[in-house]
Amino acid sequence: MNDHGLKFEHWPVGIVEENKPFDDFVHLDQADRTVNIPMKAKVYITLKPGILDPQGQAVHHALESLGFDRVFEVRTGKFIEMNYNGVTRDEAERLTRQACEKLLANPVIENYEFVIVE
Amino acid sequence: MLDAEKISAKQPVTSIKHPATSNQHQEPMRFGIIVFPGSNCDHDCYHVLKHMLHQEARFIWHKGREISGCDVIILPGGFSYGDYLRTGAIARFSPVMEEVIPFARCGGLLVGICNGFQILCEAGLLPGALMRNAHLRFVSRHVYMRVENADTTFTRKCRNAEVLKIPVAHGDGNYVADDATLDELEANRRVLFRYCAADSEVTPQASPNGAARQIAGIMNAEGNVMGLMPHPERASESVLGSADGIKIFESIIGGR
Repeated sequence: MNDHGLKFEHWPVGIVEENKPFDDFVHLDQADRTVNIPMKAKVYITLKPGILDPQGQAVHHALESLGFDRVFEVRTGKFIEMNYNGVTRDEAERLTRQACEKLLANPVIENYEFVIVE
Repeated sequence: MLDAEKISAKQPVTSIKHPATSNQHQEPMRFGIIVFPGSNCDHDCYHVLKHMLHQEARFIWHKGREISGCDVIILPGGFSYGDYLRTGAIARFSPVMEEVIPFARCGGLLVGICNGFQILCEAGLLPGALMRNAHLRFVSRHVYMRVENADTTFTRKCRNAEVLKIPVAHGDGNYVADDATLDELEANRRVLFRYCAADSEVTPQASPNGAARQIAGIMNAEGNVMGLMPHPERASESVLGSADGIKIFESIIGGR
């Protein structure tokens, strides 16, 4: 352990330029590493409560006829994946939210949720 | 440029009038019909407007932005962009819509038929949304719709409570909006058409898609944007089984 509470093996690996301030080195390294990791947004679009879902009802009936009688409701929705390159996690979140509000979900009838995974 | 050339450039071939029916005191209106990839009622609209009503009409490809000079813009029926994601959701962001939306916001007349209605809702020019038909089937047949407000630009050649026989052809015509929006539409007589039985009785059974309060067509608060699911352009000649639809186009033209 060093003074900052970090184990030595967690320190950034790279070529340390002589006379380069240590803080700058850490900053650049983190930015580099984040941008090079592909980000995946998993977007779940669901119908708002109270909106009729005839597809869900049809699936529910089919499940009931197959013996899944403990299911009392089925709601269908959409699942969309978006893959990002060259963005940080924060940027991926911001862009995904914008995409949902502008195009992917219709706020009149749908809600959306998403997770960002590396 | 020669004078003759100037004149011919200003007056495209679409302005030919039929001597028997043209109104001598009125210039033809200029209609722009937007063509998206997947539009399939664009030519029907063009035929009715140009050949039957002798108006100027031209097609506008969705990638163009040239809508200047149009008095009325029509978003025709069809399956723009294959109805991917949601009906009308992708067409709503076509380049031409960047011109159509300000055109409507400035009071230009805008009509959305079927897929066009869906695009208008997605664009936020009309409230609500059009969802999958409640019975999940595509429905293609004649229906009856009752004129709920004959005092608009789009219906002035109809009578209140008049029943029009018009075909529908859609899988997503189930009009949905929250109760406050529906109340507001009704209070301000912005519901223009409701599905009804042949005797004009409005019942849920008469609706082909389960639409809220049997709504078939609405207009915006300013009264210059209309959307409807039935296809008046497919019912404008008696040979097609009904000529009731032409009243809607005549209303738009005669209202000027």
